[in-house]
Amino acid sequence: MLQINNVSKTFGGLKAVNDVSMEMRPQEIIGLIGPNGAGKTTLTNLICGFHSVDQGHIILNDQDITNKGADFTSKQGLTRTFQVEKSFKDLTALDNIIIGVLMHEQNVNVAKEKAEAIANKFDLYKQKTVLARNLTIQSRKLLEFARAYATNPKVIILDEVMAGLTSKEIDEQLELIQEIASEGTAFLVIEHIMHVIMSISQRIIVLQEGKKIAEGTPQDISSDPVVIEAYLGKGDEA
Amino acid sequence: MTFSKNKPLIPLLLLALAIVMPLIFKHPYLMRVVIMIFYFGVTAYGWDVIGGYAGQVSVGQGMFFAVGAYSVALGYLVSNLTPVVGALIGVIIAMLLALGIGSVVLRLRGPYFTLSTIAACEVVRILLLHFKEATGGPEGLVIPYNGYNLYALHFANDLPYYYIALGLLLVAMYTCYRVSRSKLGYQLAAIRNDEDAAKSVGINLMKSKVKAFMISAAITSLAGAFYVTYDHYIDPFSTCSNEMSVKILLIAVLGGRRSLWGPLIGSLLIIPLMELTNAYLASVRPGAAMLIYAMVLVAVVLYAPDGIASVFKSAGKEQKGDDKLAAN
Amino acid sequence: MGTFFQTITNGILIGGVYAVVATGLTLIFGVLNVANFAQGEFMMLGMYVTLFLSRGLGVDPYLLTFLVAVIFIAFGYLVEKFLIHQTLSKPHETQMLLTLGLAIFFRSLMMVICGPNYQSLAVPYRLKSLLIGGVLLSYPRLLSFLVAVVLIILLWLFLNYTELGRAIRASSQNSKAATLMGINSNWMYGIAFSIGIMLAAVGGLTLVPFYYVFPDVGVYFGLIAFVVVVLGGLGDVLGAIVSALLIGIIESVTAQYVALDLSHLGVFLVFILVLVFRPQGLLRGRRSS
Repeated sequence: MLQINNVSKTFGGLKAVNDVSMEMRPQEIIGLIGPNGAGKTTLTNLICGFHSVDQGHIILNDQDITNKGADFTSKQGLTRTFQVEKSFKDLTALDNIIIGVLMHEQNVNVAKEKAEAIANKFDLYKQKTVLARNLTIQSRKLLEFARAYATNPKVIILDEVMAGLTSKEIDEQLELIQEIASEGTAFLVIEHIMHVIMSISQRIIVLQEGKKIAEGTPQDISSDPVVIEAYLGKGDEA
Repeated sequence: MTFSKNKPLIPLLLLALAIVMPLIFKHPYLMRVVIMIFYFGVTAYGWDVIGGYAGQVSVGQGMFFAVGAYSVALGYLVSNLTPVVGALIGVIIAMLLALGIGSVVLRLRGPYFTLSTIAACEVVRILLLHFKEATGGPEGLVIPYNGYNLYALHFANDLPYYYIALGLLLVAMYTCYRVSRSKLGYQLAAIRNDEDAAKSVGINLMKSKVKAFMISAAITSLAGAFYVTYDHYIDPFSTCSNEMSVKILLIAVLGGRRSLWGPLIGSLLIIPLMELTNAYLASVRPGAAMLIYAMVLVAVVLYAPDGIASVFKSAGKEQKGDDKLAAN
Repeated sequence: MGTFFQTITNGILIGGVYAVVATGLTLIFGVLNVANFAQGEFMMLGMYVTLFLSRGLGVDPYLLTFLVAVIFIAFGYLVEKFLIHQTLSKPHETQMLLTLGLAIFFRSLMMVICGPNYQSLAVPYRLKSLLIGGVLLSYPRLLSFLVAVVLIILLWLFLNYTELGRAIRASSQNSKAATLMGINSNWMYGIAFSIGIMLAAVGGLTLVPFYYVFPDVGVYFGLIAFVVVVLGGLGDVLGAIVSALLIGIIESVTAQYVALDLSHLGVFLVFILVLVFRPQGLLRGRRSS
């Protein structure tokens, strides 16, 4: 469904992303890990069209979406959350979700109804009239997830949405991700909390210095000597 | 304070008052001031679509006013077109102008948009001044009044002009209201809050902003078009100038951006005071009125960014969820 | 041919003033990321202050350069500290509206104090000029250009050879860099803004001996400053200087060879073309990556 072919990006002489390829199928949950500065967020920006790629192609459902711009990419069904959360701060939680629904809906009233249902699904219903700026950062991240889901996407990239959650909240969110995946949406999950990634991902991709150094099941990855050397072995907090 | 279904009473009362008032008070000068309030109200609503909802500060709205006014005046003087058709032509030209400017500069972030609106307004004025044969140059154009003539929208007294202005004001208010509650309104709110996030929900930033600018241009040119039928006179300096553009911005920002009543409140506060100071202070201290407005503008920007309308609103009651798009 | 050189020379001479005002604007934009829509009005204030001081003290305006500079450095610092600074963390539209409000304030303030009349200062050399190679160099315009050149050289020395200047330059490229250099950024915002304002005011000063002074005089100059800055690339000091001279020449050539009343139009046309084809500035990209 989503194919990333040999994508590269250079910033001021530094290869931020270097010849990365990967593939995603419907319903799949893929983990993307790597040390800080490995290029995870840059890769996300490239896939979603926020930065232009220097080389390579991004293909979604047999359509080449390389360098077509973020709004176009989102419209084709590939959307994201942001590492530094970007909710619409001066709007209510419900309005945030409505804007997501409106991507494929013309009628504002219909969008409102759909958004209410989504707010419910994401357990944001009680806060629906609260301005996003008054929500906790965790709720705002969840809101971003809800907004992305509201666009009815084929692929969602979640950029560290679980930072700062309690383990109970993490479990709830993992359940939500799995539920949405079972409806057909694929997920690319970027997360630092290793056991979360290990428990939810069917496949894991490891980036280091802009390069893909490993790909495989969580078991493969956790026993891969290259990964351990590059990443897992470096500290206990990982 | 919206047209919400559960509380239509106050707006309806105000409307009834606006309709009946000129029949009771037949003070010609007062009538003139109220007509001015309505016309500048219209321009302020026009500004609010691009400057408020889309968050793109335009300091060139005077050019759209001039486009409307000159279309009507030239249409009538040259081709004997009724102002209604002239206004329509003006709207089309204004929208094309907005499309042209918008599609060049609205893709750029930063002060480019504001700058190009200032520059475009200057360019239009320079052209109006230069092509004297057609536009009358600095002397402007006079539409001769030869008694009652419905085709030319010439009336014997100000009453019909009053209702035309009121009708236009209602159209402008309603357009603003519709925009704020429409898909476009949500898109603009999204863009204003965060452009990257807006892209992530598939919003084409350029398209939405250009649409807003075109709507804004259309409303403003309508004000100019019908104002000239009332005033019978148009010149480049009083319409297509930085002063006019700033005045329009001032009314909208002081009254309150992104609020249903804000632009009207702004016009209600500013136009009478301007008329008064022009009448009594102009010879003694020109600029005194603007000086006061400038101070109020700075104070509003610093301490009450939602304008004077927000003061009424917060005095009223807690913000309802319903007012969310208007309230920020 | 003589006319042509004369036209180019006139353009370059007025371009010096544009360069000074625009350099101030671009400095403010670079460091504070604020588009100062009151730049032309600070220039206008500079003209009035020069006019008053020169009349009051009976001193030639060019001899007042240092005094006017000091006055406006202090004034600019206060404006930054008490007004501009309050809005730095707010959306761009807030800063634009604030500087617009200030522009209207200064314009109407001078209107109230001095009225709308055009005023001018009679200097003994007003109509004198130098003839070099068939080209007439009017004394006041020449002096104005020389002051502009000296000012720009001083600014260049300041930005390159003082620690504060280097910090300002660094922060106009990257605000973190300046913080890393251990410079208090609040202090630096104030300094950058006041230097920017001082440049506008002194630019105004140099105009006084040959230009009319009136409350709206800054509107066009402010706009020209922005055109220059966009042409040179936002935040780019050297770009601003080069494009200021260019704008001066374009203006003067349009006035001479197209139509006098269309001289501004030529400038705006260039502005629009730049926005369409090279919004990053005419010169940027040739020098850096």
